[in-house]
Amino acid sequence: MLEYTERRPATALILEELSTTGAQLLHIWNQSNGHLSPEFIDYARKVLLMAPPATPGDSPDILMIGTESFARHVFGSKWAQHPTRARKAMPQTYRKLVASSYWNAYQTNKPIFDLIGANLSDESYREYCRLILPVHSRAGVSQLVVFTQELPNQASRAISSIN
Amino acid sequence: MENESALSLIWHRPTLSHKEEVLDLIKTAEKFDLITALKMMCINLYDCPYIDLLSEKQQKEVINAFRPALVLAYTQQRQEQEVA
Repeated sequence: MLEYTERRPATALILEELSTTGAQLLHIWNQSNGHLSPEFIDYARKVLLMAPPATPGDSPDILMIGTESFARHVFGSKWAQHPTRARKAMPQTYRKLVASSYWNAYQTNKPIFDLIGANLSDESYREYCRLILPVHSRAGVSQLVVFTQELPNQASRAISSIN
Repeated sequence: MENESALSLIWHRPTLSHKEEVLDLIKTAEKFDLITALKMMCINLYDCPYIDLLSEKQQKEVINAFRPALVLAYTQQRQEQEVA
């Protein structure tokens, strides 16, 4: 299957088409001006917390993998047990494919929303949407809150018609 | 960074009791304004946002899980200080 990443505007309208959770997370981010606010706590199981990317060509280190996240679902509970080793356990080609949006979100300090079709393993091609929220603490510490959700059938075509 | 907060970045600290280690973790998380991230990890692991309400074994798991976030925070702060 053809691998791709397609960026979409990170707006409430577009997110609501695909994911109520994604829209809620974007709302929290907007309300808090990108601060890692307590409202994110309720979504802890559904997201990943990541370090800022070190390079535009590789995905960042993972700090926390939500127990109900898409990543844990596709890569497995064993993979999710050790977040700091999880990045290196993913295929390098996949990490490279999905890396640039992490970098752009961190560099621009703005949410990035994209659609992705990727071979997550030899026998697993998945299409999903991803919302990357760059957050910071009041002490100046930067992290990324990342929410991903598998696309329902035809969703990528439907979202294209919105734009 | 103060020495007492930096202690939480070290893997093995025989000089601190478990209770002191938990308090040190909370204090360091507060210093970096990362209490939300700490609560997210607690919720994700044990469905409870408050580390002080967890069992000692659970607290140890949270401490280990949260340590990379503290190392990251410490590194970022040090890099900013060097730039400044």
